[in-house]
Amino acid sequence: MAEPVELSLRVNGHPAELRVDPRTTLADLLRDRLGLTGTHLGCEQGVCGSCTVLIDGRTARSCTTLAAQAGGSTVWTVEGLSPPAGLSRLQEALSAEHGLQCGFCTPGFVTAATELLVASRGGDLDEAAVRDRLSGNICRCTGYQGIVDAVLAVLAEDVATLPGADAVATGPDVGELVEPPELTPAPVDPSGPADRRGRASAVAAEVLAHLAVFVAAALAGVAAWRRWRR
Amino acid sequence: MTATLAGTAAEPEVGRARLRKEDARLVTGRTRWTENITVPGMLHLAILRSPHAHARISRVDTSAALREPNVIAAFSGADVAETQGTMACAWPVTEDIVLPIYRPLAVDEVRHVGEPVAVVVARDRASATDALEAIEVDYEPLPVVLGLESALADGAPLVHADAGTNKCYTWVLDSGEAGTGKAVGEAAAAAELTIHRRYVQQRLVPASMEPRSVLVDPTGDEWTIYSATQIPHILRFLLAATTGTPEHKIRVIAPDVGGGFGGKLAVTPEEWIAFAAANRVGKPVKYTESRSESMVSAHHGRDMIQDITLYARRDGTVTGLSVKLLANMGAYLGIVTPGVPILGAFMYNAIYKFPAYRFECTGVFTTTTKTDAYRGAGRPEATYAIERIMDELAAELDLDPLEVRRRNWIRHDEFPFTTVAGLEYDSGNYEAATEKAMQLFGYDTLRAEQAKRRVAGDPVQLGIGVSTYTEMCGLAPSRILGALRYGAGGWESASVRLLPTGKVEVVTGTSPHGQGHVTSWSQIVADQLGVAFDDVEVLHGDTRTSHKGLDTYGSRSLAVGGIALVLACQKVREKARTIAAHLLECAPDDLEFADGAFRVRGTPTSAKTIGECALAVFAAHDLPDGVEPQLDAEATFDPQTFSFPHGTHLCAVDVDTETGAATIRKYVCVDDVGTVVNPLIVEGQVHGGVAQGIAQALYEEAVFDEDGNLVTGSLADYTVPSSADLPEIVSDRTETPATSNPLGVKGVGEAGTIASTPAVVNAIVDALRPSGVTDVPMPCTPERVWRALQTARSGQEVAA
Repeated sequence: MAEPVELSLRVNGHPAELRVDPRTTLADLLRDRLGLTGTHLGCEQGVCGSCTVLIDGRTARSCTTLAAQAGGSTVWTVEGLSPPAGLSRLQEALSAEHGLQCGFCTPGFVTAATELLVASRGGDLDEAAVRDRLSGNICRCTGYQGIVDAVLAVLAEDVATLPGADAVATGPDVGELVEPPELTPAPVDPSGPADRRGRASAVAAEVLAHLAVFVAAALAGVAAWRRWRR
Repeated sequence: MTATLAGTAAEPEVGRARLRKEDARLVTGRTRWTENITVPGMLHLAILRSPHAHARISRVDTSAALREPNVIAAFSGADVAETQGTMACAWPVTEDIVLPIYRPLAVDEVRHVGEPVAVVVARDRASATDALEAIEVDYEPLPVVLGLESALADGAPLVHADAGTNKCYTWVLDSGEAGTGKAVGEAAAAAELTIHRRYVQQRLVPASMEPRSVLVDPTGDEWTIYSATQIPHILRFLLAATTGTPEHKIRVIAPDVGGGFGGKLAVTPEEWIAFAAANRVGKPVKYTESRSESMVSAHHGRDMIQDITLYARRDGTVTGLSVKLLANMGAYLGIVTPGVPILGAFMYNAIYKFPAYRFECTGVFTTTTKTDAYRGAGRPEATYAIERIMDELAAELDLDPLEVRRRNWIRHDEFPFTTVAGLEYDSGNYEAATEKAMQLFGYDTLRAEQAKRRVAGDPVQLGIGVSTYTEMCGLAPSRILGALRYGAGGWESASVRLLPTGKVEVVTGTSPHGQGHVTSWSQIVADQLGVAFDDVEVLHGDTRTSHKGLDTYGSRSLAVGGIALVLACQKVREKARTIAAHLLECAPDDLEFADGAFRVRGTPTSAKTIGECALAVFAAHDLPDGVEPQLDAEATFDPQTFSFPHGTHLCAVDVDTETGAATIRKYVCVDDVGTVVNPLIVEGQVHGGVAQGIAQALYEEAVFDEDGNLVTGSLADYTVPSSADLPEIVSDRTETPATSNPLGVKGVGEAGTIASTPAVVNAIVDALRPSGVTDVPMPCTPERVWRALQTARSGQEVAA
């Protein structure tokens, strides 16, 4: 067995001092050691987003984050994003718009939407933008419409009082959140079917665009990581 | 006295968009999924699964695993061969069906990748998983068989050698023989037009967000089993029946269950294995699958090849339909595996009146994960095939797809209508739903735009897809299930008890996992007893409190369980009437009941509320002679027929003919699900259902490689759509109450999924029809659309 790791972090505003097996994920730490079972494990492969938490004000997959990586960080989970009694405005809206059915993915959406709402600073995100920014979380029940409508309903409100808003607001600069570059479609000759080269260039443009997003995201991630470490 | 006694009628609860009682707990993460539940002394189970699609097991050695840290037990199928029981199939659809032995833990042969082979029980999940690596298994690979047609070919490797064939069964419904219509042969001989198509229903994965999980807690001579299941009652019954465990010693709890979609309409090998493991170590044992395990071992859905032949006259009248189906069972039979395509048999005729029909389905074994119910179960496949081929008929005759449907559908004044498949549709109004959908959609405007863009040669073509569906809900009349050789009935149970303070506790046999039964059932009871919505508590999902039920699947909960609830409330009301009459010193018949109180006719101030009756019963000081001091009632409802929701879904798709990308531009659905208890919940069911249907049309497919490995084994590869992949869904309703039940409800859980897939694919094909495309295999990825287009174009060139 590897040597346990000493960890000190803040979870939902409270200090936590623990010794963990180095391979312990943040999700397991939250669920099994701290009893915060509102963070759900839907895939443990970083795909579904049910385990999304805020680490230093930014959404992260707690299933693919080692607990040790969160040492020294501030972590917020759905329990911390819920008022002691009643619901937050976001949670009320999710209920009012029927944005949850089985509820398994819901804590991940609450977390992701908290970041989205606070980071957008009341910006004029339209439905397509909200759909795009929630696309890291999978819901199998709702078809997303209720979730999107709930976020749009709260978007225009003062979100500074949302639980967790301070954490998001003081996280890495929002400007570093990556905007996907515009895809440049290949020129199309309307008089006839595109030739093979035209299609190839369309495919290449798409690949390059995706690569650009990936590189930009990676660079932004590295930059943010460095800032956190400082 | 309350305001209601002054004569102000309260607004009925049924029909109100009540926010869900379930939400506050779920939205704050205060949830009790099985994986969240911990009991003292609990151990963890991990399962070693076959890496081969087909192999003989020559040796399993678990001894080294026992020496790993924190390991309590390790064993293989052979170690528990005598005690592990066998999995049950509840629906042997024919007398001569092949029912293979299905061991929870494989003993001598594995028949799909992911089949459980051995297990470790340890103090924690990580130790259990680690120790799996110390188990040695020797496999002798056997040939795999993956394709439906190749599995039936002469000399194909056999999935179950004992059976001597890969054919599981052949089931036939012939309207000529059954006396429900004419023989298809006559229709074929007289047909002015014959259209044959082959459609492939790709394999899908239900993929509920909560993985399956089970905790077995043996205490004394009792077992408490928590499971992420849709069917706690059926689980208890089958566990008792197949392991010899006394039923009354088993308590099954379905706590919060995170989605099902049919994927948890299962009694799973993993539940059996956890049961065997807990008994072996004499301690509580919990197992929660990983997503990878779930993808490969939880049952899949669909996977059929449909050969469909439509006979018609040139005026567009359909005269007959012949359906020949190959249905992939996978390696084993789950609880209703063979019956899934049979549910579809009654739906290929859909909303149409044609007089001749023949359906033949052959179930086929392959060395793949078993299939079983997935949202819609047989009806989406049927609806897809008929709605696709109706568009082909329209294209052949150069008619609008809606016009062809109009010429064939059952008119609203023709109900009740007995179909060629032998079902009596009680009600419906296809004209009204279609009219409303067309208006919301802007059908004529979009058709005009489509024509313009065709003429202009726009590289992005507009396609318009139509789906006018019906389905059967309210599973099911028990005698019909019996006639179809299903192993259980289709009734549902409910009980209602008034507490001394006038609050109401309701116990339902349905087992919700996202559908909001607690909310809708509260609304029904509030109306029936005249109590406040908030004064009703709904209990479910625990066989100790809900001792009787048949659980939740097949859009049955409201149409069957909701009616049981109404009947139980009626019984309570009649008991209360006797007590109120006694207290008011009048005859029971002199009382009228409204807004929660009994009033003496003609003397409205002389009244007793149902809550006052409850208190009087609690005190029991002054009850009529012979009246029991209780205000409880139980009712079990067995429906006499199915219910038949219907609707019209319209989809506009932009198809980029250069890249093949299909983007849904507009989706409109008008559904008729009868009386609506809670419009918010109904709309949510429609949205989620439509999303899953779109997912089949555009995104999802379970793919095996040539060795039988599931290539799409994670949510990164099996592409459940995200919010960015789905359109806004415009949904509306018409309301034609069902005449077959006192609430007029029909069911809504599967309607969206059943309707939407053909609407989307019809739209894509419609966009490309001028290029000669008549089909795009699902899921219609850009590559497949592009290839279909190239193939059609080169075909046209050759023809020219």
